Amino acid sequence: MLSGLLHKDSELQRVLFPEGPELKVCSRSGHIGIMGGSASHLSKEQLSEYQELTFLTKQDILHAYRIFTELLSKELDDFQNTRVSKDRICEMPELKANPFRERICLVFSTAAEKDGSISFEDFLDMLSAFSDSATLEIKSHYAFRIFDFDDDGTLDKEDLKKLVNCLTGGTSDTQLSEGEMNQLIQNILEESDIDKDGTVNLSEFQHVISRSPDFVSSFKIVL
Amino acid sequence: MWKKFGRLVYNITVLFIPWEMRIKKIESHFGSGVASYFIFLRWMFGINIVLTIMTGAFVILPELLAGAPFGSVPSKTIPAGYVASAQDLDTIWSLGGYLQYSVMFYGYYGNDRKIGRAGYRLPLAYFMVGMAVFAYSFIILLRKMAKNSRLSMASTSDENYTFCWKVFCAWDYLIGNPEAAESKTAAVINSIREAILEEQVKKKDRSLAMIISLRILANILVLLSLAGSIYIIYFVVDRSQELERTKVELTLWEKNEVSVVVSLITMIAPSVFELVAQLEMLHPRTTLRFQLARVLVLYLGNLYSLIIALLDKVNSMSMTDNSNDTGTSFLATRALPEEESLSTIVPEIRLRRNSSFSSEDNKTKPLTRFNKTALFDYNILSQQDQCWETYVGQEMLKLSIIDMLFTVGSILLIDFIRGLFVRYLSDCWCWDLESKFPEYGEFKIAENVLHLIYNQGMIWMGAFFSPCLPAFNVLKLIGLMYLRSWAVLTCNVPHQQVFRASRSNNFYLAMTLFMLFLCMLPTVFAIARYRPSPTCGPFSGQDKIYDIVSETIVSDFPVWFNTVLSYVTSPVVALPALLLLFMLIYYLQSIARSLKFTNNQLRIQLQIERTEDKKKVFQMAVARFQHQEDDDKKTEHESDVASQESSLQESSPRRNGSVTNFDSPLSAGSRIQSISQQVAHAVDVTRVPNLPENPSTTAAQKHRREHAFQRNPGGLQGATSGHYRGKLSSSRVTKLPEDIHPDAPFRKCVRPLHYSPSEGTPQMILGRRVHTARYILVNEREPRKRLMRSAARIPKHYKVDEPRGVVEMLPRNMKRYTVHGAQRTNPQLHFSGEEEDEEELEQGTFSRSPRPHSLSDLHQPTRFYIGDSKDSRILIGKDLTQIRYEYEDSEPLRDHAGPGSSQAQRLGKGPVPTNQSVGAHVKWKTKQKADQSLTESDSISVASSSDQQNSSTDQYIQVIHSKDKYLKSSSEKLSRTKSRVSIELNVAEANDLICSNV
Repeated sequence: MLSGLLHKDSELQRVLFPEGPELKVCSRSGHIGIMGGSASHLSKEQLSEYQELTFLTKQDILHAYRIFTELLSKELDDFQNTRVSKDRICEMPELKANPFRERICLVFSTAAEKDGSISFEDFLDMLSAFSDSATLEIKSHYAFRIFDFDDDGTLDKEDLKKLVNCLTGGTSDTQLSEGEMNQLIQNILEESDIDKDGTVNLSEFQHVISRSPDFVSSFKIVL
Repeated sequence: MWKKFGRLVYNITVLFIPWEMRIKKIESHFGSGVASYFIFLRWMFGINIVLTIMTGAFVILPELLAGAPFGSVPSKTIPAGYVASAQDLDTIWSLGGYLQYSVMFYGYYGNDRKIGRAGYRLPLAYFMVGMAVFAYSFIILLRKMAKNSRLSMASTSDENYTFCWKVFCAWDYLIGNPEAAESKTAAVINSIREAILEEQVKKKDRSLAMIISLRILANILVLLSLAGSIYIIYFVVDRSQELERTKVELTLWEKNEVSVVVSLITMIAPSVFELVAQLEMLHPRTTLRFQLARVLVLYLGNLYSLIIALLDKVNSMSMTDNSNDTGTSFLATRALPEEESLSTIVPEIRLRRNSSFSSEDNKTKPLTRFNKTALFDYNILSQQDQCWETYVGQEMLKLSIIDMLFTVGSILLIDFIRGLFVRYLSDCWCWDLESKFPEYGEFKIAENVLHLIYNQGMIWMGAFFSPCLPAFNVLKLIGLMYLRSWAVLTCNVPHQQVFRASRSNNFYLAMTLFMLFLCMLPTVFAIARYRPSPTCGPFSGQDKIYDIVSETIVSDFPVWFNTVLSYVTSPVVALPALLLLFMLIYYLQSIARSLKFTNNQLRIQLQIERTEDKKKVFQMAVARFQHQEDDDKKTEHESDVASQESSLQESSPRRNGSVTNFDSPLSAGSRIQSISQQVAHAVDVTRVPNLPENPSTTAAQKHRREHAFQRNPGGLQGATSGHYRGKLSSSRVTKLPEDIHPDAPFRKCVRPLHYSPSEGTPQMILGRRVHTARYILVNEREPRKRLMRSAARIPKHYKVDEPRGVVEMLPRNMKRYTVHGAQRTNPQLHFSGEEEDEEELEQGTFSRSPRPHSLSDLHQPTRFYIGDSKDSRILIGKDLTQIRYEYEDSEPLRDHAGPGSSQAQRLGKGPVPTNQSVGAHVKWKTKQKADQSLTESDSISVASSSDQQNSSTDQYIQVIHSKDKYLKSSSEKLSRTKSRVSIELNVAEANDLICSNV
């Protein structure tokens, strides 16, 4: 079941790590494109490469590129190694209203210092996972990682609490009371925790999510 | 290659999907719910495109190209009396004049059976297309529904994850608009709170009576408004007819009164319902459902009251036709065309009546009576007018147009103006406009979708009578798309009540299907029931519209086909066919039911399996635990036997010196011999070829005896490393074949036992050494010391030490080498029954006692590395500490490898090293304690890891890996003696074999 995900993921990994030989070639050709002074700094090879490795179409990638360079707010030769800070990403209109925007940045960021900054490839990775054609497995996998606030591989009670608090917003009148929260978490665990270990792990999460009729249609971000 | 091509195609198709970007934009602002409306709209648009193509290509175009031109035939000519007003705006507006006599309506089409040079059968095509419109709509709807239900896995309805979905799937990631996000948050909180409330004890409503009375009141109000709307429609129809009769000239308002009123009702009534629904104080979800149901009933009521009025009119028309058309009228039309000027009043009345509804009011009766007595010249006009199909088409088109206007008007007025008003006047108003009364217009998905469906219903109803209706609807939908999307983006806020996309999709479709069926009924009824107009349309002159089919079959198909068809349509065939159909339906339904049943069964089985799995894991954990308890028990046994053991220990010097016979080991050995014999046989094949079985064993035994002999003196005198080497090589002789032979691990442990009793104690010692070398790897140090202590060991001390060793022994080893092996191999170690248990224990003690000589401390690293590698797979967090412990452990071990080999030397030296080793022993003990606790946690972790079944192969690989590691580490450590390395190899191989067996 996971093989598809892993496959695509490994492909994404290749995108994410420009150290790979293939991509180095590409980035070089990207430089040529820049020197040529074309409107789009993405070379054709790169474009098709990205297209291969993501669920995005050419138009999507070009659009994403435009938006990303806008976020960078300056023309950069080496856009592949430049990162946009988490705050700037979170200010994007598509993410501005999202209560999980910081988590999304952290999950998709490959920055070594774990500050949630996003490179162009991270950005594409994110859009790909949130695109129309991404599979349920990938979407649920990333959803799980987004919800896993402490990055420990399971959704425990603290994660769930944070998740609910994110959903209900910051103000105290909208937040659930302690009793309500406990009740809610208990119910969630009753429903989803198959092995009764008090946490929701990835497979349990995916099991629940795959039954949901409208997760796939709502777990989308469109630029 | 193909993938690339697919990509390319996908890229291109995305470009051609209409409004994709627009919908995405809306989606990104308002979430999938609002977008689902637009997707539905687009889908409707697609359907209408297909319908337009069908009617356009097969009906309209042939008529335009090959049909008789305008004005050539009476049915295609505007009557002379109306030519003057044919281009007036209000005539055009009421779809009269030139529009009435155009391809837009049924009446224009000629009734020539074949038109053009190619002989296109237009009437047949008209009929077929009319039916195909319905057929296509049905098929496309059903297919879409089936696809949707397959996608949404509707069958898993009993697997309900309400809370999980409410939390995990609550957020719509598409929402980018802060206002939408706010309302979404509010909706999420509401739904969570509701769910919690529902989950908690169902509280009683504070005042049930009041709520019930309120609800009754609300329902009465709704019923009243429904009845009121229907009454208003009838009243309007009545009034328009009265006006028609009394007034000569009708104003624009009077002409369109009915359509306007119907549209107004469809616009206002939903809001009224919504207000009323607030009285009910129902659950929001239920409210929404009630609201939808009421609106649907309202729309259907409107459409039906309209169509019934129309059909009534048609009825009266065909009644007059019937009375008139017997010859005279037909002749009259041709004979007296110039007389029409004489009777201008009557046709005008007639005409005006056309633009309104003539329901079953009694005022039509005098009129029809009047018609019957009318002049001949009336007939020509009435017959041209009395193209009831055109009339119905006109009405439907008019209604559709008015509806469109009202939609545009309501969007502009209710949404846009209100939005402007709220936004720009909120600063200088006395209350907050944005949050209090007028607010911004909400985008009510459900109502809008219903409105779309209603609109489509009108199209279906009128499509047969007005072939251009789908084309008009296409234009209308395009306009609606742009206007709505603009309005949504500029001046709407999303509906508070979340109406989810995919779940509702099938709901929309189901309603559409319902609508389609209900709209098809009147049309089909009209086609089947009424006579087509005699003077206009493709079916004029026929008795029934569908006669065109049979007529074509009779005249244009070969005779045999006709006869075949007559047979097929005869009751003899038709009835059984019908029966067959029923049977088929029943059969399929029962199959579906049984499949459902199977489905349920499988689900239950799955659940049972899951719980069984859980139980199994639990049992395994328990078994492991119990096993440890067993070991504890065993240690109790052991402590029972401790006296015996201590005696043995005490007698060990004796043993070393001479031969001591134990009965029980002997019996055990003899019994096991049968097993081990097999092993020996099997082994023999692969063994060193020049040695037959007995000689080989004897040779080995001889070796052993030798070495044992050597050892014993060595033990007494201080064994040299040479002795060890020799002995180890001998043990290797016995071991090698075992290693080659892929047998169950227990045999390997049994085999040495077989030798030992028969050969006497030294062999026993040796044999057990091999045995323990493989299975008791942990606690060698103690026995080692014990042996050293053995001369003057206090039994009490021994007792304290020994049990711990045993406790550790089995679970550890088993766990290390096998995954489930603990339970499986253990019984074999236990042999059978209690006495064997004791024997085993004795053997254990035996084997422990000589262990120092076996250099089994060499195996220590094996255990650790295997354990290490496996643990690292299972326990990520713990293994670091684990490794640290193990390094601590293995560090002294390495030290001990030296002392271990030289211990014998020390041993030979007598009591002095013993003291030393006691000190060392204490050190070991503490280490071991730490180790033990760790391994226990390991075993728990192993038990808790759920995928034990799969791990065996992994385990195998891991072991090999660890072997390499082990070899590497050990080879640098122990390169001094080659024999040791070889033993290590053997042991490692043995480990592999054991693992592979597992």
